[in-house]
Amino acid sequence: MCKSCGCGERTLRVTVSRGLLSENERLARENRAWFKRLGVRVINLVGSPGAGKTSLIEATVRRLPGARVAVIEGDPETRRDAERLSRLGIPVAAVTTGGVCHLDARMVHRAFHELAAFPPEILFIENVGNLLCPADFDLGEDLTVVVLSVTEGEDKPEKYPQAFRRASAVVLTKIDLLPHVDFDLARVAELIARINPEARLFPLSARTEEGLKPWIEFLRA
Amino acid sequence: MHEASLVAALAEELLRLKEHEGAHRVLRFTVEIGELSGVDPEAFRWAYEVLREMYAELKEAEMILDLIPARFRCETCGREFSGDYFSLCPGCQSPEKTLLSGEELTLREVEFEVADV
Repeated sequence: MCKSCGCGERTLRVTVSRGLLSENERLARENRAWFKRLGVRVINLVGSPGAGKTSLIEATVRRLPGARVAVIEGDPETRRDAERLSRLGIPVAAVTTGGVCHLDARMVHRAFHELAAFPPEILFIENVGNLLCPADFDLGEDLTVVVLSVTEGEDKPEKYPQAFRRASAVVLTKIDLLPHVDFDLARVAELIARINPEARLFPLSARTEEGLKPWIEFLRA
Repeated sequence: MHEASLVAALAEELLRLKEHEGAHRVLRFTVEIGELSGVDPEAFRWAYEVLREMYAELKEAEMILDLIPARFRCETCGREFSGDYFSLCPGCQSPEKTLLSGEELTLREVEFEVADV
């Protein structure tokens, strides 16, 4: 009985202890099983707007002739990057998130339906340009890769440790611009190692193709 | 602002639990937010205030946030300390450490109003 007015209502206290992301994690597990069944290697690219995610995909695809590569392209509003990637002659599924700042496992699941009839060997998921929000959302990928450009400044790992913590690799892009910016590669490598000693590091330039080879080998391994 | 997505997931979970318990309404609930979870408690609260207007069942539901500090244990000397991912052990300066708490993002407890049986 309700203590204050005797109206026959009572309160019930339930212990839940359930992660707020558990539904996304369940869907990510389903995606992972699906990708595995079809033999797709999935790489989730996370980075700030302008870090060079799309350029990295373009340069990578050019270095993987004959490989079946596809892309799920996440963009808050436009399909511009998806159109840009389509010109490479590879299948691209565009996800317009409607302003949402990250992809989640459900969006990736829906988008992959467009690609599953001819499953790729390598699937890049280009996440929404944002170093903060995508870090929390498992998409079912095999590899989470942070894309960080040398023009962004070397304090990014300190400001956004969550993104780096989950990464299997960090690609440092635009190294052809190193002579023009204050970016201490060794210091950034040390910061990343502090958060995530296992993360592999790939300094490269998509424009000059310097450093691209170890990255390609890493993807093929 | 991924806080908005998290709050949407939270609302779904609260409504599911309410249904499951056969409750009339949600009175209050507690969410644990770890210091290192990447979630801004103020943005989270604001997102909840916006969202609860959309759900009649949550209109009166009070959200209690429990902020969990980051704690580590030094792998070298065993000392426990507060800090962040970059902290060295204050005792022996070792960078090797295990996270004990601070990444929580959890709905811990919910209080419902139910009819007496």
